[in-house]
Amino acid sequence: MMEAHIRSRRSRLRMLELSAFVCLVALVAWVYVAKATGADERATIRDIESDIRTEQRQIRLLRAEAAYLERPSRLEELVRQHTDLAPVEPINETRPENLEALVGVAESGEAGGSHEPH
Amino acid sequence: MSLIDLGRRILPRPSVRRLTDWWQSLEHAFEKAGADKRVENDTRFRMTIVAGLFTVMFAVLMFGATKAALFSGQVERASGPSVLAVQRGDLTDRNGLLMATNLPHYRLVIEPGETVDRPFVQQAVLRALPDMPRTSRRRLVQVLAGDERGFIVGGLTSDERRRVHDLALGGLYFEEEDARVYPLHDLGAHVVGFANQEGEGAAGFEAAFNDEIRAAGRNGESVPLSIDLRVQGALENELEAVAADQQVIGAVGLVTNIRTGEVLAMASYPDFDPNQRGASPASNFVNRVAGSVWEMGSTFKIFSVAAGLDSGVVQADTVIDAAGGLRLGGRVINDFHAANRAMTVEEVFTHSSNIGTSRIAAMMGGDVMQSYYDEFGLLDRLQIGLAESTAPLVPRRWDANTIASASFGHAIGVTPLQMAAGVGAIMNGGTYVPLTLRPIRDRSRIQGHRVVSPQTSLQMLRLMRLNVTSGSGRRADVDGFSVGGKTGTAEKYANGRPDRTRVVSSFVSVFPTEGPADQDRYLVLILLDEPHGSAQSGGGRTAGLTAAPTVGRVIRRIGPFLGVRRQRTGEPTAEHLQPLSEAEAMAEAPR
Repeated sequence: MMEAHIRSRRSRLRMLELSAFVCLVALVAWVYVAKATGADERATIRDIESDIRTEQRQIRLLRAEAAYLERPSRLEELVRQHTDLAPVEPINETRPENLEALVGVAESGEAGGSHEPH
Repeated sequence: MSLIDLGRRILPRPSVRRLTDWWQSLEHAFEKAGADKRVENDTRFRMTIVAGLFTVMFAVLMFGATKAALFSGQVERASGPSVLAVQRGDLTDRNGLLMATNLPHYRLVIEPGETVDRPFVQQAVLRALPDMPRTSRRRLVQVLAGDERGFIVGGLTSDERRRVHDLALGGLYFEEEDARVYPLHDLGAHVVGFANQEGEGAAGFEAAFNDEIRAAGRNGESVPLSIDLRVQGALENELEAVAADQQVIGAVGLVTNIRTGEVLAMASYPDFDPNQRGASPASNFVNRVAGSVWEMGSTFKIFSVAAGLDSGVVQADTVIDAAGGLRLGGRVINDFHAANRAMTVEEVFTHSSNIGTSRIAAMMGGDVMQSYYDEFGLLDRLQIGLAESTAPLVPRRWDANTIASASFGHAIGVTPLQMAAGVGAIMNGGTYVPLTLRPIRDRSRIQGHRVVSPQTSLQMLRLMRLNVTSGSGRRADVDGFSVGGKTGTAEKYANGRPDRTRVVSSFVSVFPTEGPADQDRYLVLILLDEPHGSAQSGGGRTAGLTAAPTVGRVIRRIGPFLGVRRQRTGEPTAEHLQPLSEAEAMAEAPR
């Protein structure tokens, strides 16, 4: 009777040992998987960061080239060469409230046949 | 089979055997203890204690493992530099257009021990990099003569690197470096300044805000200036045109928003290319806007008349005797355009009468005038952050002679920036607002102090406009923009005497002078150092013939950029609506 009781206790103790061992193995495995996944992710992040740096350099270079090409002096020279654009004069401006009257003036001018429509 | 039996079978080594024997004896001890029937010797009790200990140990282990597995990487990344980090942040104008940036460049380094034919390497490198500076050529010779690895030249572009790389020579290495690049070259060169090879700001905005620019670089951010590149381009374009036409030795252009104090454009002639600093003489690097002082001449009458009006010494219609010359000790003060009659204060301003202004100053007295000049910021170095900002030349004694001279801009020298800040304070409603090179995003934070009353400010705006409609500044007028301004032509001194052939002509203007009191107004200042006269100015050198027309051309171009609404539009008629031929359009286009 006593021996059966002791065997039962020993058996439970072994179950406890076994459970703890399984837990330990599971934990070790989980840590390994987590670390391995983390390392993979860090490598991916490093690659992405490297790509970002490369792209960023290209962007900086392109922005610098765009700024160089859009220099006001260069644009002005191009405008002089290829267009007849000029600063806006008062005669080129009006106020919204005068638009209706201007349309009337333009229509009466057209009706008089004084010039070609544009 | 117990764990101990399993251990014995698969791990029969002595150390493991000792461990298993110890564990078995421990098990037996528990069994024996159970026979005593004491609580502390009960196996269940001990098992609970051991299980508890295991639980605690496992919990600690799990916590540590979880933290190491999941969070250690993030901690590292959070404390590391930004992936977008560069040595210095980009500089942009107020609209985000690029003015300065960092681009990857390369340093050439040579390991002499790995080269085969050193004279051949030297010749090949020189052929590949023909523009290499003299100091770098010396280093090349020295490094190839020795045995130690040495730096040869930095700042190589990708093309230059490729040319050297294509030589396929051993012992030549490239190291990547960040180099500062100014894509606009000479545009805004004085205001932007430049950084040295170590990445530290050495001049202009680059030096003034060095720490901020470096901090922005670490975060991959950019730093905006208050400059508007469209305005800067138009200003420099017109300044260079008049400088070439008048063959000046120097010239200055400045545009500010007088309500906020923002500098929208700043130009100094002659200029330089910050990318090729060795190509310009040292005198080109002087920022004449902040770093040179001049006797401004009659533009100073703005301060004197404003002080007279604000102190209540005179009113706009007070009559001043400007007949004949004003004798002060052994000196006689005359007017350039002598009217030889009594004038109202308005006429004193529009006729630019030295006599009238001297009399107003005498009526105020030295203390009052000095106090106003101090409030206008004319007696101290202007604080704008630029290291180039120079202290004014101020008289030591304010006697009657000095007071009279200072009232029309002689005996006192100030920088154009000081001039602009002082005039802006008078014209913006009467508040001195410090000039700034940073854009103002929150106008409620603008700090200033009152220097003249709002009434005086309105009176001065009216006088400035009057001077353009019927005074010496007529050539600065631009249809619809209600330009106001004051001319100033100061003779320079040679051997202690004024030299009529060497003058400084300046025009300081404000627009629009009409419209609501709280609207944005802009100041445009043009200064020409020793204009020689030209066909365009009818041979004249005075400000009304040289600087004033330039200001008009600048305002005509920048007004629309600044969103200034014309007080008057053309209201086209049927005639205006007729289509123009291309030849007519070209003929009517303003030059």
